[in-house]
Amino acid sequence: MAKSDNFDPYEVFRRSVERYGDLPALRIGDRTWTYAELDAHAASIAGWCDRNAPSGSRIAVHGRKELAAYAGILGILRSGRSYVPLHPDHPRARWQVVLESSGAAACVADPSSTRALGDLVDRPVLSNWDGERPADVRQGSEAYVMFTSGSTGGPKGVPISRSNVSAYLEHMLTHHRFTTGDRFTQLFALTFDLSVHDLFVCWGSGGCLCVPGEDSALRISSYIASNGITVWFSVPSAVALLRRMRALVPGAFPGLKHSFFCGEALSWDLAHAWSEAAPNSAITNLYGPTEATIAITSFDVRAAMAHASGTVPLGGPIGTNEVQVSGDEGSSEGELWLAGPQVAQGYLGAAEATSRAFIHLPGDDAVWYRTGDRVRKDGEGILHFLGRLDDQVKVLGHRVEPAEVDFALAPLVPNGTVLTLATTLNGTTRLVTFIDTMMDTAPLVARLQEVLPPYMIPERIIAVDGFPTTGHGKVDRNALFKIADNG
Amino acid sequence: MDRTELRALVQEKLGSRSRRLGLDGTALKDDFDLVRSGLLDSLGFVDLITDLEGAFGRQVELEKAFDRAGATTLGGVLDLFLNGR
Repeated sequence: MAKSDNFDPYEVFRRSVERYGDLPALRIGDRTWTYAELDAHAASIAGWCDRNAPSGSRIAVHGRKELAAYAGILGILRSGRSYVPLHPDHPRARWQVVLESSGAAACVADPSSTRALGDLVDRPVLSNWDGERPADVRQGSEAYVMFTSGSTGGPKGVPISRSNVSAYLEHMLTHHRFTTGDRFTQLFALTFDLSVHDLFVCWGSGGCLCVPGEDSALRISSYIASNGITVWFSVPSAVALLRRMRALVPGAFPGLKHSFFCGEALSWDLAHAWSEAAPNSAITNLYGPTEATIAITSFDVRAAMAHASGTVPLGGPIGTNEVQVSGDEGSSEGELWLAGPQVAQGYLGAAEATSRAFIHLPGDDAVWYRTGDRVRKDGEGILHFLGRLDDQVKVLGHRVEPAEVDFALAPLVPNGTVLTLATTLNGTTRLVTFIDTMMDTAPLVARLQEVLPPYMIPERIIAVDGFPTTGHGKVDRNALFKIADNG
Repeated sequence: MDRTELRALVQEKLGSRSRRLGLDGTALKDDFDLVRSGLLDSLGFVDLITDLEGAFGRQVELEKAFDRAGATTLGGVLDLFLNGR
């Protein structure tokens, strides 16, 4: 067994079941399940999987944050299968794409979500596992498939292996000192791979995963206090929201011991404010695309806090992962390429996209993932984020290809061109879509809501009588932004 | 400012976003949930409340205000400023 196999996601949970069976593993609202109780649920679900889906297949999990989702993920992994999460707020058309692309053989959902799935799922659906015969633990190769926005029209599936996850968990569970008394946040949607950190870093530590209720984003302070949270993990936007709510005050969160941020650029300004609000917490900035499993670089924020301004660096690679900056000869700036045990092999059923993004270098067996992120490597080997090489943006931490919005709208604008751009409104990245022909835009939003996740719906859709152009005949994006500002 | 005037002010602030979703802003009922409907996300909702604070010239205890049932409904927003609840 390779060393990192000891950090297989189900294995780290199972070890905690053996050691800390009576300790709380999961808290949702007022209900708590111990490690032993959660394991019993997972064993029954694994038994159901054995009887309803082929060995090694993928199984969808409706991502409503109920026991079914958490025990479902564990049960699927216990059975040696791979899970495919469905976001509860995404439209059914999106679920359909995910189900078909992944070839999910069955689905696990809580009873209320089973109704929402309706006739969409012509596969076995598990919502009640009482009486199911428990199954033994089986080895598996793939852990999950997560979908990210794609620039050619539909979401791209990224299969992540159990060894990819093991490499991440090995770093997190050996590098940071978590204890069985720790209580972890679970703010990320289960369709966001950062949720894998939430679940398995917690369960690998013997801690308790504390799941917030609906609309929790507006009640973060009371969520932290009432759950006794000690380990925080969020996108920086969550901190920006706290600040806007005037809740980010010095000493506000004295019980926090570890804070992790990932998913979008963290400003030093926010990092400073957080360090004062959570004075007893280590602060780690993480970076990593879905293709490199959760996060692949790490930066100790407090160690560099004294004279910092601008954006917190991405840091350096974790574990045995490798990075290189691909740019002009001798230049320290360029595209960030990633290789190592956390890097996936490619996209699901998308050979062309895979061959563009996952490459081999002459004389090197490693698969290098081209991130599309432009970075600078400083003299100490620390990576600094400079921007994107393409149009991809982050909206509240979600990766968005604006072209995917254009692709969804194009059939509804047969005589015009659609162009979606990202802009900053009130300090937050938002999408604005322009159409170069005058038309009623209200029906377009309704169409987008049928096919795209909420965070991909543009803040505004603006019809203009032809796009303004630059002297070189290109679309003048600055002029479009001015139209948006004045509109 | 009475309830009718405040309702008109909220609807004015929601104007372009309501139209964007094909909603007739003037027809929104008190139990219409501004966040769960997708009309606003969390940041947008907080921005709306802080805008209204500016109009009223006073601050509310945001987290406490959001910790009550129906806080993100149109009626909840009106109550927050008119009744201090």
